[in-house]
Amino acid sequence: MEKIMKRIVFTMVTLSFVGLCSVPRSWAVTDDQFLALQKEVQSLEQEHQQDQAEIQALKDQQGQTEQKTEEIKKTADKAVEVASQVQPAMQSVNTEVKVPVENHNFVLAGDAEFQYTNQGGGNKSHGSYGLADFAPVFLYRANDKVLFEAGFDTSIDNSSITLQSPNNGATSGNSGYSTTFNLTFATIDYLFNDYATLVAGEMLLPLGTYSERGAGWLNKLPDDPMSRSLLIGTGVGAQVRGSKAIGNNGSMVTYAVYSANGGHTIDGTSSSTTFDGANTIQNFDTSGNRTNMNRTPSEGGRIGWFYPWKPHYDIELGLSGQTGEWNTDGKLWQAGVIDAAVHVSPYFETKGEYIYTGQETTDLGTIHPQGWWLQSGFKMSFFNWDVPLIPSTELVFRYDTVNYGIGDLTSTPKNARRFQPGIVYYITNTLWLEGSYEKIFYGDGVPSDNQWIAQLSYGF
Amino acid sequence: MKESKRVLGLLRFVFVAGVSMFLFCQSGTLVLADSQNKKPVKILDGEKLYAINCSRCHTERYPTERTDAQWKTLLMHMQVRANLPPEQARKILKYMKENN
Repeated sequence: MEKIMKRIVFTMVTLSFVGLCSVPRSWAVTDDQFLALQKEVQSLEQEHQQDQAEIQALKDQQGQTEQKTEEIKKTADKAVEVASQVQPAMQSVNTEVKVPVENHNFVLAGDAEFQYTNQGGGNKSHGSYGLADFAPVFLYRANDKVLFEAGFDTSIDNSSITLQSPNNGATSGNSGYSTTFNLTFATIDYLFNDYATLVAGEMLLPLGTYSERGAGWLNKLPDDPMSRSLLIGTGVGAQVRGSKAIGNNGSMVTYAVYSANGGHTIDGTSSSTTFDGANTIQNFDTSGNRTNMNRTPSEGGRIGWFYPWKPHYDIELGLSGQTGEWNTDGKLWQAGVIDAAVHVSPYFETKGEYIYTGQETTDLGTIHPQGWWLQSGFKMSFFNWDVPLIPSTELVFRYDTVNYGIGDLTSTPKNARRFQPGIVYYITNTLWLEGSYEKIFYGDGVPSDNQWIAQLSYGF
Repeated sequence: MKESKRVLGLLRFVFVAGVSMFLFCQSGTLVLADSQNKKPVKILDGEKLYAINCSRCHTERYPTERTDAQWKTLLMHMQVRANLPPEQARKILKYMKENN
């Protein structure tokens, strides 16, 4: 037993010795290394202490921040409370003082013309700068429902070149001139809804389309169709107008109905005599109807239909009329107008009107002044020629005729017809140079007239 | 007994007829909707409406010629003067504003 125990002890000692001898050299630590390690441990301890100090500082800062946040929150709550108390008062102030958010509700539009005329034929005169015209239109949008419109016309007219009038037979002018300032129209427009607008005031009457779309700058010829003189251009009254789109291709039907002071005698007398000693229509004023010398106002309206195939390809047809007394004896003046306009490309357009009127008189029964006009335009840019001037030019032609319906009782021509070729040069889209030559033939053997007109037009 | 069978039969008929009518109406609606979908309606935008309407009476004006508020006033004026449908006038105004 003892032998066994000795052997075991001997074996363990031997193994221990062998194990100690087999320990690698790297496990051995020198004094220098130990000192270095000791320093490193010390520095780590210092760093640890610094980290602890920083953590403590951050904790302190967090506490302060939380405290400040709490204070700010309390302040914000107080501000919200104060604001909720102040807001109703602010709202009441806002409703009382409305500050406009836009300052361009007012717009100045309109046109200006300058004309040179050289007249020959039976009423020959020297060439003359015959007309300078400035026609501003003032627009003011009070809000989304209300619009004020006013159009003025200021012109100086050299009366020495007055055309021979088939009405009064005047064949000579004078060397003077006249300056005029007229209120062309002035209306208040109230947009009821998408289908009806109330227009009240001095209105351009929707008899045909020329009076509403025939301003100097809009018309491509320098003067008006003769037959337009048969119609009343404006009237003081009220009108309801609107439109309804049909489908989604841009087509629409339009309407306008109105009541206005009708035509009246020029001299304001109650005389129902239509004609003066020369049997001419001198006592009927179609230039404007600001007064009502009749027993009742006149009524009228227009209905139109517009159909576009695509942009610049469209047709428009319209039918309009007016009826009402024109003097204090209750004599009637009535008018019917058919208007049409067609665009068959961006380059070609044609439009016209047929006008038929009926006027009761005491000495001639009922007369029927009537006339029509047809005007076409062709833009030379159609040819796409790479030459100067031509692409900016449009050729225009108008034929118009008028018959005053006076019959053989007059000593002056009862009818006239006019051929009028013209040209428009577009300096810009709003500045045009227009020129036209017109030849007028009168009935009843009266010598014909002709004249050249050049006009500079500007639309703004 | 016969009466109760008739009542039941009548109720059955009413039920079947009602369901049939309901399905018929639904199918009709679906067919209409389908036919509408097959032919999409072309809605004109402001640019096309501008080209269609404005050049009828005058040369086209450049959108940059006026401010937004001025175009708003002018389109209101043209809505009255040219009898433009308001929806079309609004689209034209939107086009003018977007391009000035």
